[in-house]
Amino acid sequence: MAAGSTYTPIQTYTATGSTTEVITFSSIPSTYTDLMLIANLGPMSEITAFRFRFNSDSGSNYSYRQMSGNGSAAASTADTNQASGLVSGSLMNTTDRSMFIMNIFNYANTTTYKTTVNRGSRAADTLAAVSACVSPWRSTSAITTIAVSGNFGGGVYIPAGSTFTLYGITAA
Amino acid sequence: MSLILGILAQSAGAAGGGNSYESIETATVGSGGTSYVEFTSIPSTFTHLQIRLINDTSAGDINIRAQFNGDTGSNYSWHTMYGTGGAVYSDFNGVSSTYYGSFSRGGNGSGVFGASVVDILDYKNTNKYKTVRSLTGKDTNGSGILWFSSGLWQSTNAISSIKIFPESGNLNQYSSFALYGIKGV
Repeated sequence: MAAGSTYTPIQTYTATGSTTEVITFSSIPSTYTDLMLIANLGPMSEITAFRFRFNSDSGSNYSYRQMSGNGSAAASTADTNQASGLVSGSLMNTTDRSMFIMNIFNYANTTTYKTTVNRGSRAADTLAAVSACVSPWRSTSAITTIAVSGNFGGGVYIPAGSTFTLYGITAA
Repeated sequence: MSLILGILAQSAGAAGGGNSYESIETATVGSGGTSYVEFTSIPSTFTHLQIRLINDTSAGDINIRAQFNGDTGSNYSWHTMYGTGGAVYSDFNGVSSTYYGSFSRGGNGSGVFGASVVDILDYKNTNKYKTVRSLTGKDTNGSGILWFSSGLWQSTNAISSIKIFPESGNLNQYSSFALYGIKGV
């Protein structure tokens, strides 16, 4: 069995102010097997999905496939050659809290593309939504930074008080 | 703890102390691939188990199956809800399967890996049938699948081994399966 902690908090970020567009975790140690990013967000400045980039890569090296439900219908969408990956397609809106869990598998290996499998939800009495998605990054580089945003460079702001915690999971 | 098949790399560290979420064992497929991986002699000191995995298969986009305690009898069933990017579907294998059929999904056979988080609840409880839950995704930048699956092993035996295998072909090199134990109070 692994010595010490298996599920370890690496970094926590709490958004402040009113103009934060991107949250970035940097200098991520390579000593874990998987990463998990867990976020709890307040109402966003506008309706948006939530996206990610690894190692500042803004090339068309991401894709996604998602499934969502809003209480009356289920849907599945996909897209290719994106400039960012998809964390959660549960549309964050301007009135409700939302949350997501992002699983990043074998992030430090240099032999495989990096796969993320993520879950998201928006809490509301009406117009709630739940979603899951798979969104890989087509790179064999080890992941050293993670950036998340409503819309990179699009002027969507993350509300103050939103929390983001990155965990490392150590396998034997 | 033993691990079937000598070609699988096993790294064991010292026992962790005081953790609720502990790494038990990891199996990583080496060069040449393998027809299955199996966790054996699973300790009974936890409440739940979790397997976090990435996998690719020689047969490409196929299902990954599981059996418990070497049980090849007709004692498994499962439900799946999945999205392909164009539509959402639901599938059901109701009764009398000889394996849990939606444990995970293989990659594309060319380096794209499927990934899963699989939870096995109350695995040592001898008063319950065993419930398995999988969240799985695979995307090849043009095709793929995402699914939720729940499975049932109709046995009250404590789970002591888990065999994981593709529906055809081999698990490819770099496929990796990490078994974790979760403790209750």
